[in-house]
Amino acid sequence: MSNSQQIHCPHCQSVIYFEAKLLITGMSFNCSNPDCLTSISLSQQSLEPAKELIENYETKKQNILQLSH
Amino acid sequence: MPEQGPGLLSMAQQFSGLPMKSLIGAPLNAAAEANAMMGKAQTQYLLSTCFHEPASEGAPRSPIMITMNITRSLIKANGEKASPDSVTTTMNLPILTILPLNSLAVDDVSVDFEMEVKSSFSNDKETSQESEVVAEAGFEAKIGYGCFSAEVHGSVKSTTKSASSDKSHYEKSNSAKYTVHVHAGQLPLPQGVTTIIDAYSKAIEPIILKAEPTT
Repeated sequence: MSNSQQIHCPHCQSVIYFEAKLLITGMSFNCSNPDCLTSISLSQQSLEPAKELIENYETKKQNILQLSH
Repeated sequence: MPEQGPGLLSMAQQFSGLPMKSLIGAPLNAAAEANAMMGKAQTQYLLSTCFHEPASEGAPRSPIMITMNITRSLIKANGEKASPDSVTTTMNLPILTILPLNSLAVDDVSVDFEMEVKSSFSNDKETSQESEVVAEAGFEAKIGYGCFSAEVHGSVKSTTKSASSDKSHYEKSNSAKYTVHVHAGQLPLPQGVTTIIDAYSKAIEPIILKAEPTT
């Protein structure tokens, strides 16, 4: 299963593909429309809460999967 | 006549006593319960981490927002970079929209049941009996008539011998192997959750104001 997620570009409504694990490292992702020149990234103040949430979620997910095996 | 043995058990008879309902139904029930537990755990986690606690019971939950930067490059009409070369705006969106959500559920349950029924019967009873009868007789006669005489000797011997053998042996064995495999994996999100995320994602699109009518 691909980890790629997507969000609509606020400017041109095309799709911006991103990966949450990379997004929380501060990486920016460009709009899939080559003429749009829009990129998104997490703001500095949201990096830490988002990182904490996603890491916590991944840990819980792995725990659930391990318990079920 | 050999003694009657217990005979072979029919295959149908061997399987008729098996609790097939429990053997198959129990793992499926367990998987369904596990799915329900996983679904509940995920829902509670999402509600507690992606939404603010409601002010009162039954009140709507508001999503926890994060701020995202949107950077757009600026290029002059002639294709050169403008100064500044980009403009950055911010938007708020629910943290739920960036969470790599997947439904966790039991996606495979297999019940392997292997039973070997081995039933054999052989009549191999051994009784040994031997008898021997010996009878022997002899006679002698002498006859004389004038100048003739005759003498007869005879003997008879009879032997009877009989033996029988009969062996009996009974053997039966059963073996059973019962294996249940349960695997949990990631499934696509339910339509309901996808709809919520879509609604939030679309909410970040800019609202274009209509031009005011000129009077």
